[in-house]
Amino acid sequence: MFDIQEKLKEIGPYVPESDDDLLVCRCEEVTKGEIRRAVHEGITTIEEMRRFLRCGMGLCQGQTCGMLTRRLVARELRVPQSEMDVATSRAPMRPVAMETGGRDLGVEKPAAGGDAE
Amino acid sequence: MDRIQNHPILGESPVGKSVTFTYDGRELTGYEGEPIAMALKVNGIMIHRYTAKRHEPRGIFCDIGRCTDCVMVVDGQPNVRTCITPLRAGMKVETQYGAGAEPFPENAEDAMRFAKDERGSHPISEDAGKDAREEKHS
Repeated sequence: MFDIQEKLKEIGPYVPESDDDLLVCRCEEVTKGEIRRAVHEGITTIEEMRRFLRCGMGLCQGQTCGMLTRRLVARELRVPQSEMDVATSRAPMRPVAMETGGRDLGVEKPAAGGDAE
Repeated sequence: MDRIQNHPILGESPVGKSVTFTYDGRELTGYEGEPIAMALKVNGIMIHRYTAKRHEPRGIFCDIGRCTDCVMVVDGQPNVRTCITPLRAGMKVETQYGAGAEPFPENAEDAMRFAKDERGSHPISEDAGKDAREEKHS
């Protein structure tokens, strides 16, 4: 772990880029610029980023944007990607109907429309 | 838009039983057991939902059930991934606005016109389908 204040001094101020309005997290609609700006506001880990901007917290749980976010933060912090921790994975990884969990308790009810995984 | 009849790797496509389902109140036909998204695409419908924050249209993105961009309200249940959910006869498929089937104010007029007018069509989805067809012919 590094000193955040020292790191922020080292990476300097946020510099806008032409493609900052590019959508990175499609579920929670978070752009590249928002993520880059957050790094300069002191968000240095993926876990913090998920709580701060909610990127990777939507329906797909960061399956689409997880690696992109990691790469963006690593680049902004000027550290190798391998030094960035990935976000904690938690079940369920797919949208699951509430009744699917209910079936674990022996409650049987046919699913309508959705699928259980 | 047409279905792929003969795929170079997967071979001949199985032809299922033709069934009817409703999309935003309109009756459409598709094959039983094929993904809902495929039945919609064949009918020229490209927009599955509008996002919660920016109200942007979304459709098929990954098509393998990971990205959840194609979710719609199916039989009253929101967030159903249409690209991997098999079509069944009489299914009620609705465009998802945010997390429900209630259109956003700016989409309400289009949605109402679409549901009422039998000959009319969903303005944006029809255009999107037309572009793809023209590309194929040129």
